[in-house]
Amino acid sequence: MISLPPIVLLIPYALFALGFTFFAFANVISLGKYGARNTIGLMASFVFICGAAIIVFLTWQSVAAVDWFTPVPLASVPAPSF
Amino acid sequence: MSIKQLFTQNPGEKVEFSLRRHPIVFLGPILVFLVLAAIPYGAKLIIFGDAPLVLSHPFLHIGLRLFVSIYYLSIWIFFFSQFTDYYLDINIVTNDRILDIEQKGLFGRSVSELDLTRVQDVHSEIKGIIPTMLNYGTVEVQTAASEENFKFEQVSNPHRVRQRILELAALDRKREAREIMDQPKKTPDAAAAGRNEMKNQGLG
Repeated sequence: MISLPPIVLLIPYALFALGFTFFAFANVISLGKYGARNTIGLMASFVFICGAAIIVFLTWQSVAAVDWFTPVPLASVPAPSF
Repeated sequence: MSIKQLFTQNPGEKVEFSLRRHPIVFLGPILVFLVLAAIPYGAKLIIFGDAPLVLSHPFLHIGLRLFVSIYYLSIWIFFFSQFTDYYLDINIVTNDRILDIEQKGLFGRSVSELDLTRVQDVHSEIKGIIPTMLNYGTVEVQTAASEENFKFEQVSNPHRVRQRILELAALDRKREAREIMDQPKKTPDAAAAGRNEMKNQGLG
């Protein structure tokens, strides 16, 4: 029987989070650099950061009870028959 | 940051007006975002009904929650990119030229400019029910055949914009003609300078 701790699921999530952070920074920097350093630009950046923070917070809340390190059996592998 | 900081102004150049796409155009990305945001709720209702979202395997349970999080973060950044693209596209009309600044995706930006004296014709068009009601449409600035036309899409008051560009082009042509007319006054000085130069070289 193969067992894995649920923390392995966080690896793709962390990779996605890295990509997300990169694009988020690129967006905010584009707005600031190319003429949106005004109320609308700041407001848009603020709303975007708040929205992203809310999504991450709700995700963290929904998986708060998970025991990340205890291995969980993936599936029972049948014993080879001879 | 003001519009003046988006480009280098020539001496005596004045920004007459700037154009962005009509705000109603952004309603499209908003609706797409709302539909995409509703999909997981719809799927949950169809698959699980009112029952709480509990899957038999803990891996599936956690994985699904993380997947939903990735999905929402993805559509959120897609929506924000749409806003950036919308907001950073701008057309600036000065008393000397027209600038078309276009954001192409997240990492591309193109700036084209056209001298008002090279404007041959300006065409404005409002097409459709909603554009007619909200008074927005396309303005196309036509130049010499070899050059690419300038097209301002989904801008407010396109007919008024066309009229104003034509007025500014006429004014710019007059100004340029006046400058050319003033040039012969300088010619005698230039001729005298040339004669002096020839004398200095022993040719005169």
